[in-house]
Amino acid sequence: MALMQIAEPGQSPQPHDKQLVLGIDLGTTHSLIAAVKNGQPTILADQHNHALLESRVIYSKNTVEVGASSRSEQQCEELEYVEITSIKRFIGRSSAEVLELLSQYPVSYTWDFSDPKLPKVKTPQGLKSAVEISSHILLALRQRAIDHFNIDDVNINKSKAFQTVITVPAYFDDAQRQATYSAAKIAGLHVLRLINEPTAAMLAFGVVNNGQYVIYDFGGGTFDASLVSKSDDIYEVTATTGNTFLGGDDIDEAFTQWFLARYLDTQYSSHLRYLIREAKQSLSVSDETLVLDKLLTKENLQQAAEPIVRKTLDCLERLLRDAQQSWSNIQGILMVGGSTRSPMVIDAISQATNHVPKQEANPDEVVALGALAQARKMTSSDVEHLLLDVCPLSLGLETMGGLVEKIIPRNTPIPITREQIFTTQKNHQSALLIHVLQGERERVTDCRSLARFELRDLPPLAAGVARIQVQFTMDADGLLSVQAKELSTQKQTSIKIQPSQGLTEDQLLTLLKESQTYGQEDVMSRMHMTSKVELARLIEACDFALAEDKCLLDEPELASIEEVLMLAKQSLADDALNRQQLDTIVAQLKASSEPLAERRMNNAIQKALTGTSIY
Amino acid sequence: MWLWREFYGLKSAFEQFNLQSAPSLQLISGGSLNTLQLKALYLRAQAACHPDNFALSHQQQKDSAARASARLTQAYKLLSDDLERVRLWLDLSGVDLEQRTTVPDMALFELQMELNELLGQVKLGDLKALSLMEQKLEQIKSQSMLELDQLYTLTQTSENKSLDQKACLQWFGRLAMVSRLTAQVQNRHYLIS
Repeated sequence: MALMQIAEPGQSPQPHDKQLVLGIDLGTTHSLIAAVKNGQPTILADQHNHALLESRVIYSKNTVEVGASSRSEQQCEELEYVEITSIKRFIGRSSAEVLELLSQYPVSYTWDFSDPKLPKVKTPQGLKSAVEISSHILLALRQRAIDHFNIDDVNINKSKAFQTVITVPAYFDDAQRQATYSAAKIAGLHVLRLINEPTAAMLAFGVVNNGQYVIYDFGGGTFDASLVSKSDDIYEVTATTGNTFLGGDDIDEAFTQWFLARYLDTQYSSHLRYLIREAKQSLSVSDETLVLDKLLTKENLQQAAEPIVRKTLDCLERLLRDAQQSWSNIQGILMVGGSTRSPMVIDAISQATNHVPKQEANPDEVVALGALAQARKMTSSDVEHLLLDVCPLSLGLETMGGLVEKIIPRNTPIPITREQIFTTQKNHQSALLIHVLQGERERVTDCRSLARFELRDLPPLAAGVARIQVQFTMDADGLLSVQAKELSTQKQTSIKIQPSQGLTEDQLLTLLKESQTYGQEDVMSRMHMTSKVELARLIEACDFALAEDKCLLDEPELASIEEVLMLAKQSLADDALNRQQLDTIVAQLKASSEPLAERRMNNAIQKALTGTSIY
Repeated sequence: MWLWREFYGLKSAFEQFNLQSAPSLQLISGGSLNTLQLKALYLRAQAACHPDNFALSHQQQKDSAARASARLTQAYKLLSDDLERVRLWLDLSGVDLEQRTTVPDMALFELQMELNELLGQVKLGDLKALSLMEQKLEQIKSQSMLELDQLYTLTQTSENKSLDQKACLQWFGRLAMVSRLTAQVQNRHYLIS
């Protein structure tokens, strides 16, 4: 594997560049950041030595604070501020969806739904989307890294100073992943990869034996379960399932409701919920505790939480069925997430599965450490694991009668490309609407709409003659792109899925420009990536590829690429050329070197296939 | 709107794994497959081209790694799917699968009616009935695979190397039906839980 790692000269870090490799767990209730410190993968704590950062953002007129609420004194009440918690529940969701969620998960802050695609929270600093709010949490984590490693201002602004892997719940859909990506960009982080939380946990849990493992990830706001097969350095996810609305928060809520039902003289308040939460935590170590002078026992908690724990067990059953496995084939069940500290959860799992759950790793920290392990793998050749994940939800297209035709079924390994050919229904039909959906249900109305786009100007052909090839590609981040091509005319339409909800590209650019912290260099390159830089990089890459693999080309191909390359080098030296002209050269060089790049890759695969080493 | 559809890239799935040029691997014999061998090949190839290994490379190389890795997954998925693999094998062996629609198979038709009715009777949430249904489908599937395997073996041993087209179509038709119904049953299972 290491042999394949080819760092292009133009992209390799300069010696004076300080590059940080980071792993981030962006959680519903807590977030963490990990980096290698003194040779050891470490969770970076704040100055009070707190490893966990509360995922709480507090907006007041002039400041934005992140973390534990420091305003205990009464006088602060007079100041206007808005405290935002559990924003992860709402990221990547449309106004309608947030509205529906709020009926189940009331929050203390108010929303503005004037933009149906992008709901926003009202703050003293104006309306803020979930993406912006999340980016503040990421910024606070990034600040920890800056403090720990004394990064100076010059290096902070380098576009790739923070090489980061961020975790998301395995069951996050496309829109939620896109939104997380955007939040990271705004926070000035270079995202190497988004990986799934349970998969990350597997990387860092430290299991030694090969075999099948179930990861039970029960966090503050989400529940995920994944089945991972470990074979030495290869981690292959075979199935994943979960619920983005199931977490320790829900146990707090259920216990609060239980309390209210039993003691009718009490009123619902966030203070009561806080007390109940404390009570829940103390009940995991003692048998009884007091809340407002009322005695609460372990059994009480058990009774209140039972339906929620039950739901997680149902998910486990579904996971095993999806993977066609039985509990006797499972090597171990790994406990991840703060909610697995509860003895009640552990007991329930032991009973349901006949396995003793593994609790060797710190359930709060293991996900961030796993993200770090992946970030290290991607930035250095010292770490050699291969991580193969799956897509959590089926992807499909709307077909006749409002039904969904699945193109990529759930639990398909990623990255994957899948093509299917469709045709027109009417004579001389000139356009075709392509509606992309995500979900397991059969009817369009029950699935989540990801995007709609139109393939226009089809050639006038009889019904059933046109051949339209639709290609779905899901990349290793779990992000989807769709291409459609009419085969007789080669007319092509492609989109990186622009989610039906969330930020538009323009909105994101505006936010990037506004954000003070974003690496200036990267904004520049993003806004008007000087074509010259691009050309220079491409020339370097081509020279490198030619030096190594000239033999893969035949005479005319070689002549053609060398001609274009010569032209490109002249253009690079010619200051008189404008941007458009440079772009043309870049496109030409790309086109003529494309076969070489492809063949080099195929060659590498063939080498791997014929080699004698067996994984 | 969608009158017909077809999978693309099945042929290249075999090519991707060099299956034709390396017959010694015996990856395909009739319907059955050495899944472990295929998997080992898949993982080895994936280790060579997975985009995680190219995070620091030039964009063009990143892109071609992403494409190669995605194609590889597609090929692997198709080859690990019993129905798709048999379809590909028959296609490569010169069996005209389009014929299946023109020559009616009355026995298959009746079997299909029977199974559809059975599935229609299963009440939502009746896990036992669903499992029974699954078993029945599994039975038809393994019988079909076995028959196809035998048809393949015949071509290897007999003088006449050509496949019995009609028999192939018959068993392929059953496989296709089982695959469709199994998907429906599994989806029901999923929606219950």
